[in-house]
Amino acid sequence: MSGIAFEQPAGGFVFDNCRRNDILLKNNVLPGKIHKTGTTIAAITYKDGVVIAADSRCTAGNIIFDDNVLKIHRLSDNIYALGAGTSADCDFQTRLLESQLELLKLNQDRQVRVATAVRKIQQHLFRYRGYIGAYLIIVGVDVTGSHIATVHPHGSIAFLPFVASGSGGYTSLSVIEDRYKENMTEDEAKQLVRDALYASTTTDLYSGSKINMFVLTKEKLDKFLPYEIVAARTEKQADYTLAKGTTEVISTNVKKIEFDIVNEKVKATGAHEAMELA
Amino acid sequence: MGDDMMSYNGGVALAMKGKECVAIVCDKRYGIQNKTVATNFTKIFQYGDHCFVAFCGLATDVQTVSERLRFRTNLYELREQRKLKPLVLYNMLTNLLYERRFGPYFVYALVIGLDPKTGETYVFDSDNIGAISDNVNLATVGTASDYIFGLGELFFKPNMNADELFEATSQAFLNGVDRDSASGWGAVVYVVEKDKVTVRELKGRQD
Repeated sequence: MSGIAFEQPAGGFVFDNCRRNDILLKNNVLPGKIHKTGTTIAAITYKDGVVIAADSRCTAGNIIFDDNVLKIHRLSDNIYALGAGTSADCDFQTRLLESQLELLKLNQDRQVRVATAVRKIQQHLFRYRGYIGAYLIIVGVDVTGSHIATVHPHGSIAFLPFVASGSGGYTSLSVIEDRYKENMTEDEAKQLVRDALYASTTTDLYSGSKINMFVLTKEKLDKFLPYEIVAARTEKQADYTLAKGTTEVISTNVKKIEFDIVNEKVKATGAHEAMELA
Repeated sequence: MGDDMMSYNGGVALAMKGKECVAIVCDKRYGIQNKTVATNFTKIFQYGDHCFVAFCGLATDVQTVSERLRFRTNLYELREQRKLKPLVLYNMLTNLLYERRFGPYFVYALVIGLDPKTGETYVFDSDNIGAISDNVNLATVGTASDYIFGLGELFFKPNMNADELFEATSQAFLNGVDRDSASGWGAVVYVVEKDKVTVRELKGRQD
């Protein structure tokens, strides 16, 4: 066991718990619930660029864990990703890709292309044979135009003019499918995506709260955080502030936090020179 | 209960945010399925002057992860020659958990912290594979978290002072825990302020 204390994180996945966990699972023990972004994410292209939107709910089982999550991840200045599926996978894989793309941009001194981002994550996910549960929509604007790509955990991809994904994806997709036209104006595109997200946030249990939207073109990136609050919580109908001393306490222990004074100046009010204490 | 690794030993924790103060509370039960073994098993660990982490789940992993995190935070402070900040701590923890994505530790975590310069407060949660959360108002993990979530939402209001925060956190926690058989036996509350940490032991139902 002496090796463990000096073990340094070397990067990459660690598999030292797998055997133990396998044995536990074989004895009919269930692993805990992991956070899923049961989600609606949608993206459409329009005349000048792309509009992307996501709801803001994070669930674990039927519990709403967080109602203000940003599911739009930055990959580079001109490329963004929307994530559905396992929260941790979406968070970490987009972070990893973001840093790879930044290094690539610095190395070749030019803006990275959407195709590069998609191919990198595709090859990465394929190597993990679908076990990384990240359903991503990658959108971006580059020298070749504006693109939307959907990437699945097994590594399959599709470049599409519009797409929606997540647990509320089909609801949203039916709205987009119905009203999508090529070369829409920005306002038309925003309205369509909003309506698509509204449909799924109000029907899908795992999507809800707010609609966050980004509009990405060659010239600009508009962030609407949120674009619309679909369902706001009502004000509390009473003040539940508890009086001091409500809770019965057995013991109290106050630990003062000592802090180092880095810099302190004392200025005299008279004609004396200001003193400086280090 | 009992056939799930996350509720094998029982235990629960809650964290809540106030104005320039932040609180975290955990229960004291350590059980093996439906048998209570110890009643002094606290799950909150300190990683800096203003940083605390609560781990809930399988007790062996609670101890392992807390010590692995201790090793990494100590090494960070030695190597970088600076104090650990809440966001750094949270990133270190989620990285540690995500490394084991395919052979996870069975722990959920809460991270709280306070920036003594700005007074900014931090409350984060994570699942057993390191899902990253926003800086939230309140978070709870463990066997009674479903009950405590509702109560926490009721008692939470923005910009509470340290005393209000203590009462809100304690009452939400105690009343939720009383409906859970796998956690309880009193509680420990940490209220972190700029200049002090107040640790209070609470009386809870002993069954």
